[in-house]
Amino acid sequence: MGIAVGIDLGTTNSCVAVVQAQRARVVEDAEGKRIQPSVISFHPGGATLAGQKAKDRLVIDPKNTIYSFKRLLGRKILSEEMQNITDEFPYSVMEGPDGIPVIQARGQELSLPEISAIMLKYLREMCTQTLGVDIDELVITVPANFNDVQRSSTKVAARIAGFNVLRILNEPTAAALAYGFGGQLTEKIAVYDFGGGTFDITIIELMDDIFEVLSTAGETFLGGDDFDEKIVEEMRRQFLFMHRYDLGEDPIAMQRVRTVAERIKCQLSNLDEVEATLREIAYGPGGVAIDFSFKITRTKFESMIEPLVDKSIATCQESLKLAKLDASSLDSLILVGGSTRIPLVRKKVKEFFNKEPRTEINPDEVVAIGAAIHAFSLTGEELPEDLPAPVEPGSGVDSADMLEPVRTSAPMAKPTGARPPPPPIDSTQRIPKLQKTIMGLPAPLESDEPSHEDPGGDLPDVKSQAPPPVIEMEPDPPPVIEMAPESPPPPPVIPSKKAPPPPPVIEMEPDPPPPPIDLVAGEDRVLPKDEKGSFSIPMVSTAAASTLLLDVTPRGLGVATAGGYCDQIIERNAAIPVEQSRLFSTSTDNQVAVAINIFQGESRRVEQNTLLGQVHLSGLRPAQRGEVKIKVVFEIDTDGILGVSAVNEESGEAQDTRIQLLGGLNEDQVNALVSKYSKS
Amino acid sequence: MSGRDPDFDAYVLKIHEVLGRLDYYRLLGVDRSAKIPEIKKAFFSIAGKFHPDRNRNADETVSQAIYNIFKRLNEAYRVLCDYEKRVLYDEGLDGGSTRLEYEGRRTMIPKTAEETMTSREARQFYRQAAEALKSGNLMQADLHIKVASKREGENKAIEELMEKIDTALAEKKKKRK
Repeated sequence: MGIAVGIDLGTTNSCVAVVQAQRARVVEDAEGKRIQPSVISFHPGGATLAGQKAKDRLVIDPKNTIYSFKRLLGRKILSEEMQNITDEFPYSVMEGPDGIPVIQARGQELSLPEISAIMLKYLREMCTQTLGVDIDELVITVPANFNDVQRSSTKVAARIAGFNVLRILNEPTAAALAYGFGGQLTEKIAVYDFGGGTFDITIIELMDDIFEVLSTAGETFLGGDDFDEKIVEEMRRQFLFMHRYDLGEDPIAMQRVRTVAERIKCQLSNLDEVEATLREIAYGPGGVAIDFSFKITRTKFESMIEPLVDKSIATCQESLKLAKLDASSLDSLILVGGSTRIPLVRKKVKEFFNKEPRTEINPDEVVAIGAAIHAFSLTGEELPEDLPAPVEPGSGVDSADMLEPVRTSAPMAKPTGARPPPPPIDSTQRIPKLQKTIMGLPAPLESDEPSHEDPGGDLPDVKSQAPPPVIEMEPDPPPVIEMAPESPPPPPVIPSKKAPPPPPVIEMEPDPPPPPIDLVAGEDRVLPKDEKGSFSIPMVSTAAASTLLLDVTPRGLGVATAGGYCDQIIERNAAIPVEQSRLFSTSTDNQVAVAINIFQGESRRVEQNTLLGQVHLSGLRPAQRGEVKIKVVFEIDTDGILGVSAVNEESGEAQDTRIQLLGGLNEDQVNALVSKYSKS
Repeated sequence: MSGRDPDFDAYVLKIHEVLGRLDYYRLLGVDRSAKIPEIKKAFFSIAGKFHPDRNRNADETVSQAIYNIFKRLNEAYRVLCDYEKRVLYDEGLDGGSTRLEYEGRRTMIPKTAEETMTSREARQFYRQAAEALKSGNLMQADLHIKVASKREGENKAIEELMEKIDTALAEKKKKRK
């Protein structure tokens, strides 16, 4: 067992963290960025870009740039919710084999686990570059309300990316771990996790070093993306009213609108009014360029999103009910996810729980940090204080043709070129510097210091101008420098504003002539910007790392029975791992196979639950109906993933069982993908 | 995480062998009268030793045994901390069943009418109504099925039996006339 990282593969952004010398550390990219946009772009030159590089192509090449793919992972294409979101996407989502969604881009068809794997592979290579070691084990987080198929698809994605998955961890649970609770306290905490695509609320009770999840509830289709979409709708409506032209007809214009809408949303967390200008968004009669100025107040925005926020509050109520608690019996409240920066969200949560929320850790990083802490507690391995020399080119993960984290300004890169490893001298300087940067502390190196109960309390004043990580005002911004109170950042080579977004660093990636609209896109203005904030990352105390997690399964599991009823086998919020069995029998004479429909949900009526898949039992002894009896064992493991096995009651032998889940890949498909990507 | 205690591993395998015969109370090492805080405390202290995460260095046989034991511990803990489930469990335990099996060991297909009911009481009253109908005690059958229907609305089996009883009652009335 080696060192493992924690990865938060988010709907909008991803973050990687690792434990080094008893401290959690966010793994930065070559430019010092701590979070990476969860975006993949298929370049006309054949390269596959990921992260910020891919995000830069959103407005240039929306058809081949895939974002928010986590919302599609592990889902059936035919559901109504899926239709609604795929209609919003500028890229093409098609129905693949067995009804699983596939994305069509640049002449390829890719499944969602594959898309996610490309992102994970990119993050893995970033780790290799930054840390100088190849890490192939991880704890990966998922929203607490992710179902079985979504969880196993996430696991498959990690496998394709070459990772051994130690644990699928629920995001709110990870966040609670990052806050360093534990020790000798008995406490009940609520984790309110409002991300880009999903909403989760989890109630956790701490007793000594045991972390017990009492209940969890959530909405898989509720997130910051929905807030963006409200602004997009409003912009479209206004433009239509002013110019009688629907911007929805032009995918590139729509993508620019979306990008600006997201920035506006972020700005409105700090300002009462925001104005945005999109130059040459459309062309009027005679080819006259039309600029679009859009103004929105926070009050207006709040009135648009209030119903969505209320929905999250109703879910909080539900989770309290499940835990048989009321809001007043909770001791702490933690906010996680970018959407909790919105003042209305904060206000409503605060009112509901009647508690001042804890927000010391950056909500974009807290989940990855918790995952890293859990990885450390599982493996007992951490990165040493002094890192080995950086990898030589050609060693470690090498998949240059698939993915190359392209550097634009690359302060440490040699001018000559392609894929330079960080020169050793820089790398050694870099590490102590990072220690300070991450901790926001004057680097106390004693590892056996007692646990920090209030990580925010006695930290030095870490006031730095931390621009909101997501917002990129210019096509090629200077590296985001966050939380570096004293250490000066590496002198960034700030490119001129007029530079085309991706300066070609790699020969394989030909510089496309930027379409004229691109230059205009670079001028989209949302004024002004900047979010003031300071966050800290707590020390990973030994207490937090030895914490034992007792989690639950978010949804009930049942099977269809006669008369359209659903028989609940594993109930909602059951402690995992859990196992329940049922006896099944044949319904006709000489029946040699039985198919059992598995449902997710709590309703007694089949039609109100979601069909997860089918379990097939075959090779039964031909006999009279009801005579053959098979005991089927349903198990949900510590990752929250369903497993099914069966025993023949007559012979006591294992029975052939096959489980087919909707929206997931089968084992053959997974193996094919694993070998495809291990070669590259 | 270095070497494992061989005594502990032997203990694990021994527990695993008799797992089916251990009831929830013995598993958690608490009295039948134990209150929730006591059960919690017992569970947490055992979980600290038996959780698969705390035994990642065990060999495969021991790992599997620990995993199975932990699943049962989870089950025991959750049942004993839930008042309603505990009452049902205690009933079953007196009858010799060490696990709470929600619907008993019954076959799913073909389904009997009763099995479509989720409320235990509804099922009981349904059964009594069916028996009463068989023995010709229509008034009793009518009463029982009404109670069953109150406990569990919108159940086809209950509705069907109710109809049968109603027709039987109507026929009886006709005959009297």
